[in-house]
Amino acid sequence: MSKTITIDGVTRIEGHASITIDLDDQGRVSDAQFHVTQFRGFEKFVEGRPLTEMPSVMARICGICPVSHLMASAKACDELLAVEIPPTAVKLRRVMNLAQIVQSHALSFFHLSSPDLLFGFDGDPATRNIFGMMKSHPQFAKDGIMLRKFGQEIIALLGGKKIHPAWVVPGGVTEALSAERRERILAGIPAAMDIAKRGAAWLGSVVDKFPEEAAVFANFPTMFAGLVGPKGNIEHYDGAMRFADDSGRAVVEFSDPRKYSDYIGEAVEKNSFLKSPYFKPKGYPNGVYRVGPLARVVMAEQCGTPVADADLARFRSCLGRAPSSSFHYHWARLIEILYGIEAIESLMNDPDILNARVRARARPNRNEGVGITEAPRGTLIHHYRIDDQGQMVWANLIIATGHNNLAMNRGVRQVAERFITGDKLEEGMLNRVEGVIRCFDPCLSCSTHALGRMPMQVVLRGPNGETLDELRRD
Amino acid sequence: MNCAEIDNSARGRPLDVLVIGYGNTLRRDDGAGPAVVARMSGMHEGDRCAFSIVHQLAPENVEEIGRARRAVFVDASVGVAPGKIRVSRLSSREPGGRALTHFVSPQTLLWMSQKLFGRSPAAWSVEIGVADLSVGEALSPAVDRACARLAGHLGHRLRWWLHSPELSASLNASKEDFYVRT
Repeated sequence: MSKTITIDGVTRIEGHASITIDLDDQGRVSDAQFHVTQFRGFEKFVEGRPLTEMPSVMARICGICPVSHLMASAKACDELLAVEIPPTAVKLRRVMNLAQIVQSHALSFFHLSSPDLLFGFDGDPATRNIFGMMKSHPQFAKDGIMLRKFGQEIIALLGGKKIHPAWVVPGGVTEALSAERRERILAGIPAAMDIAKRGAAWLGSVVDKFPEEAAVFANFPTMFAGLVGPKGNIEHYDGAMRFADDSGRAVVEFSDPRKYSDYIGEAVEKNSFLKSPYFKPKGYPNGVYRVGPLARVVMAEQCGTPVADADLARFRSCLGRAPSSSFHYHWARLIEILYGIEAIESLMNDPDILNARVRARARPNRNEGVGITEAPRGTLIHHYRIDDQGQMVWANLIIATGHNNLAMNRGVRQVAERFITGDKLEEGMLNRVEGVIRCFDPCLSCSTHALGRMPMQVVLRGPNGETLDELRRD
Repeated sequence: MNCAEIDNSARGRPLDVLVIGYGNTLRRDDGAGPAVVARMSGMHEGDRCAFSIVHQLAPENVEEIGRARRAVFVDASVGVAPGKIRVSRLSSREPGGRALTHFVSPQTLLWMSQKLFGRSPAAWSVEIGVADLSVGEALSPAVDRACARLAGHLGHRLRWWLHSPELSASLNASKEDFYVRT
């Protein structure tokens, strides 16, 4: 007798995602799917708007990572203007993008994922969250808050506000950095670095205490994708787009962002509004690949900064060059935090960083432009077409979480196969399904995150729709 | 109105007063809190007083709250008549079991401050009744007038707190109270 388990409300954004797990006649998992049931529609409703509005409009996709959309959108618009933006503007954009990555990773690791690692995946759900952490591990909670604040303050110091700054524009940025603001940014570096080092050291010390989770949290070989720097270093703002095999070896690399569609296909499933990008040469669904911190860390030859590289060496000595388990996204995130802080410090000390030339002005000179950046969760692609008056006629967005959709689906199935047996549901199963999704830190409409526990309902139904078992969290 | 976030909370220094205005400035009267604090932020009262404007309260706000002796949270409210002002005393409250959170309440921030920094300020909620929450940046006339009035009241209160140290010190900050004539 086959059955279906529906997890309705697995979400980091107001309950707009669900999971379906199908069981066969023997009660074994036969399929599992992660459905995103919300609809954004930004690609459609920007049609007819002037390109100059795009960065600010597209930033509204997300309240957590608006900076990432600002960057990708502005880069697409730079292409439409066909301008080379001033070098100082590139550096300032890099700083803001890195600050965004630091603050977002801090949220993901300290606020959302570390409660599972501190209290265990079978810990009491009433305390297995950031508020429980504040009671039992206040320094850890404080570290997360202060690190996130560090990144957000840099965004505010550069862009005027933490959320939806309008400072990144086609052609550069609107305002140069003042010496006073540079000093304020630099003043925050030592404390942020201390926190990041503590977090990385702690995670490195406990990572081998979760062998079961590491074994089944989306643990399978896939390709990886993301930007890489000129020497193969880790890269978040520009550089070449690379696809690598499951060992991290480059398969395809291209510098012209417009070539993305030669290699990325977008499948659409009837039961999800989240597209399923795939590596075209391998076809759908075999062309599964992962993006984000794990992919970037796997593909990079090095970070290029001493503290991050030391932790990367430790990561590789423990896990190898290309760990196949998505559980290790957490450690990769901490390496990127270390790198981000070091890189921000380096950029702030660049003698050119206070240069007043930060914007190139031009009219539209192309009808098509693509911008690719690395968001905290992975590669973010904005592709625009405009008419001769500079008005948008078409847009396509490939969001970082979308690239990971196929891997998340397989990961949910893998966890379900390991933890679901027969007709009975256990709380630990629920949390591990959450946990595998949380490794990817999805931002389904790029807008929100759960604090420790997602609202969730799991219903185990018989073939005639009867409820066999139900677990619910509000 | 200056929609940019303001954070002049001198990092690491103890504060006598922290005023936080929060709300969505793109939904007209929901931006009342930011509007009040934007009006007040021109006050030059030294570095023991700080003003913050944020889109919404988040855990990161706990750091500055943990440094403050008094905190005033200014927000828009649908529970107050349009253009009216309600002041109420706040106490810390442990968060319940809400799993999803875009936003933390002032009471939760006070609780967090106590847990993480071992102290929390005397705190008040100042709510401004809203008339129009549609899309747009301009406040409705009644709310705009209320914001101006409230900024004046809070400014007086703030100067009293800052410049009457002998009187202020004689009061236990956790027990004092204030009112706004509406």
